[in-house]
Amino acid sequence: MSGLKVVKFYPGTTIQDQGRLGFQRFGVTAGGAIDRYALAQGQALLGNNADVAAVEFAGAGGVFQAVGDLWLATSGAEMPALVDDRPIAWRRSFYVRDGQRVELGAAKGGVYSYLHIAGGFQTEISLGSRSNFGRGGMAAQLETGLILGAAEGLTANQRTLPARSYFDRRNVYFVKGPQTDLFPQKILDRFQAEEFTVTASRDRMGMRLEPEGGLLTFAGGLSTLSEACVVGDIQLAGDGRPAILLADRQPTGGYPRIGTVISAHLAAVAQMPVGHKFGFEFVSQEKAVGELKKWRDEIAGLPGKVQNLVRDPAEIADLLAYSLVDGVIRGDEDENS
Amino acid sequence: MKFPRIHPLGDSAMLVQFDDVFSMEANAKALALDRVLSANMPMGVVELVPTIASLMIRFDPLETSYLALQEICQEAIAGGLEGEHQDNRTFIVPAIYGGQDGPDLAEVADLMGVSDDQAIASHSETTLQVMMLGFAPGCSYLGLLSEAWNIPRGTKINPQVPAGALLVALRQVVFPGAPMPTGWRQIGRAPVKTFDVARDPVFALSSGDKIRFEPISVKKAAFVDDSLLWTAEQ
Repeated sequence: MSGLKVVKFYPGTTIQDQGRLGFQRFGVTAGGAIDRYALAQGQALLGNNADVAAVEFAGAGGVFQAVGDLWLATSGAEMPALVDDRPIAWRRSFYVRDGQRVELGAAKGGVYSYLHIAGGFQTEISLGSRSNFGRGGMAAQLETGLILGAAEGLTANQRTLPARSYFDRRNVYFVKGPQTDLFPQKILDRFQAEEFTVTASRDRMGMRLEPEGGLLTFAGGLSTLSEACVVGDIQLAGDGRPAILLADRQPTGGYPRIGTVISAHLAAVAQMPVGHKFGFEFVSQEKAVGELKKWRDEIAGLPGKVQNLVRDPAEIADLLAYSLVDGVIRGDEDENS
Repeated sequence: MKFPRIHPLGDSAMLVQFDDVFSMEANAKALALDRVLSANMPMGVVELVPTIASLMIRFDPLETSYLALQEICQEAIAGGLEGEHQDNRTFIVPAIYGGQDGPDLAEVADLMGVSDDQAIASHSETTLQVMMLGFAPGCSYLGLLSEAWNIPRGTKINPQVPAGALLVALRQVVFPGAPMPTGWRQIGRAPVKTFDVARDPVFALSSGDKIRFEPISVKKAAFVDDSLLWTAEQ
């Protein structure tokens, strides 16, 4: 079986696709790639279907070795990438030959990065998804020596996508929810007026924020019956530090929510590095849905933005070993490449 | 405040709340609305998640709208959500009480002011309902036990209880489908799997199911075969 052998990886590295939908009523959270835009970028670069799986990195890269010849792509927060010792630009698709090593370094600018393969990684499916969900023991997790299987017989092209920076958003839109009006007005005012800093207390479940103007505590506190949670819920419990729930959130919870981040800003929020400062801006349902439509249109338009790489042979160090083999002899590249 | 209340929950979900305090009546309504909508899933609805006293409806706002679904919910509620669901399944589930499988039984009996045996008898003679699943995969919340079981949650976190643990507080039983941490007291364990990704059905229990625990000995528990338990009509 061809695929990508795991040589070295760091905690937080997972296999992710679009997640598992429809099982929250049984206590199973949807999960899935935390940055769906970056996931879609990789699919566009390789011509994959939207629902295939990629490897998601949380800040730290890893080392992999090709078993068989493979087409790969990178997306999300930029990492230094090497194929053997040759640097490879970020956010592009590339060809690796049997035995070559792919090494990814530390992420810059954002938090989550992705490594994709033509056809998606053929790892274990659990409840309709390959997404790892550690606490639920769902779908095979990464381990050293494991070969993340590749689909057979797929080819792609050397392509790239223009950069689109969404990691440094300073105003995050939110909509009001069932408990918003239960909070004291002073807390609601402060929530919308002040800046928040992303803290190191964050993972795929959620991220905790430090209010710049002091803790958002208030007398009495609120407790609610256990209710279903959604991605983007902004919980504000007794400790006065808001927490935004992300892809691996608990399916149900009893902490009051001051509001919910709009769907179109979820990828940006998840990608905010520790120390990033931003504010919350209340928007209407109409505005939130309008932003979602724009966001989805942009994702749907990604395949049209993919550009074939035109490379100057003089800049290619290993022309004979690499480029001729995958570029000329294969002979199945696009005509305009 | 007046119930039911319908609120948006983000831009792709909404919450129909039937109460803001615990009540079996609100739970029955949440499950009834879940049944009504499931039977005739409105266009654009992606998922329904019933909990103790509310129903979360996840939808695609580019295929439907909050306002359209709000109207559908209001009509369903106006049409009446009363009446017990007739098709509820009932499961008799073997359980070991006390000992290593129920380390907190004596403490719980003390809080109730009864003997260990009386607590076991009371717990196992009550037919409970699955009020919701949540917190972790296959973890069900069962209720209600008699008023004597209105005891608080524990004061310390137990880092791991096994799947099938019988955890009690607030007249409820939390019945986990996989090992998990808890602050609730463990009085027993059912030697069964309610959650198994390799099995069909993966989840043995659904909201609305009825369940009664039947005390068995540790010795007998080793011979429990739950492969037929969840499919047998009882």
